[in-house]
Amino acid sequence: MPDFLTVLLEFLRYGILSFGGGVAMLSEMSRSLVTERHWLTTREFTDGFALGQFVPGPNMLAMMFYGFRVAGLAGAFAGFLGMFLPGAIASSLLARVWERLKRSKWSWAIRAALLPIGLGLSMGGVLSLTRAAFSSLNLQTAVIAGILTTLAAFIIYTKRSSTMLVILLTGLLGALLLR
Amino acid sequence: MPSTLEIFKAFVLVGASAFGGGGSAHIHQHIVTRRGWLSEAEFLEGLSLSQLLPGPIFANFAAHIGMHLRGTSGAIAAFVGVCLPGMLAILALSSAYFAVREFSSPAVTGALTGVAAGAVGISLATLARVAPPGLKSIGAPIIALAAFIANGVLHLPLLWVLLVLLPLGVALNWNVLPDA
Repeated sequence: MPDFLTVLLEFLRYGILSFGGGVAMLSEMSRSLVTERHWLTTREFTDGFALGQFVPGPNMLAMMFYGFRVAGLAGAFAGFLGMFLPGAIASSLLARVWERLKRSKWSWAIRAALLPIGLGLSMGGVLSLTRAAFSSLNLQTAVIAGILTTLAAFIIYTKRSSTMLVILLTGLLGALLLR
Repeated sequence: MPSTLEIFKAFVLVGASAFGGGGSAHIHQHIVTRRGWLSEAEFLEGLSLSQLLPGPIFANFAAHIGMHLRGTSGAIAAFVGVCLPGMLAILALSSAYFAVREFSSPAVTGALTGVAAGAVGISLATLARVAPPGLKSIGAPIIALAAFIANGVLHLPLLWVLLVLLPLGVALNWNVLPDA
């Protein structure tokens, strides 16, 4: 079992590189955690992400699930600290110096460049999530799961309702229809 | 200005009530509307700064506001507060998940597949929401597409992708005046 420091260093990498939020890192995470290191199965990867949608607060708390799987309670905290601490520290420091930096050309140009990069990376993240969620299904269950995905996307996009309720709904429908 | 303890309490409430996505809406509700600790302009500026940096935006934003309100102790209080309720919940769910899996039934497997399918739908909807503001700068659609193909399809290392696309985006937008 990997120790605290190994898990911490792996998740620090995600925490430092996740421009555009955590979803931008999902593609890299599935490559590294599932394919390369074999710390998680594909199933655990998607289930963990889904459970992260289910708890209040930042949905990237899913990192604690991954860490927990890899190295128990210590691993859960390593996953949390690695993913969350770099951004939190950087945000605090930036809040402090922003009044002075605000007027520089640099800060605007970097922002204009980072937004589309974050968006492209997030598209990649959604792609690997989709691959992982559907790869083990046969044609019939994949069609039903596809309908549930469309339903969830439609409700969230049009109604701005709670993601926890939507996840509960698709989970319930899955238990009834996908057995 | 609120005390460190008041900041902690307010952000525990935010963290406990913000279910999935839309964290900034809950911060607005609790911190701007109810308590008046930030102006609308400070809220928007803080939100875009938190998106600029790596890491989960929701937690970054909390740390930013805490620092703005009461320095380092405020930043720690807001960050820990906003994460704490969800941390306890995900730890409980993780232990339950690995316990239940030992005697998994078709219904449990079906429910988990449904949950995973729902999570894909939610991230698709979120992507559709954030796309328009992310595509406003010069060359943005091409940069976004390049990032998607390089990292999402070809699985090139992220650091390389950033080292190429970041200077490109900065160069293209160098002479653009801020619109806000």
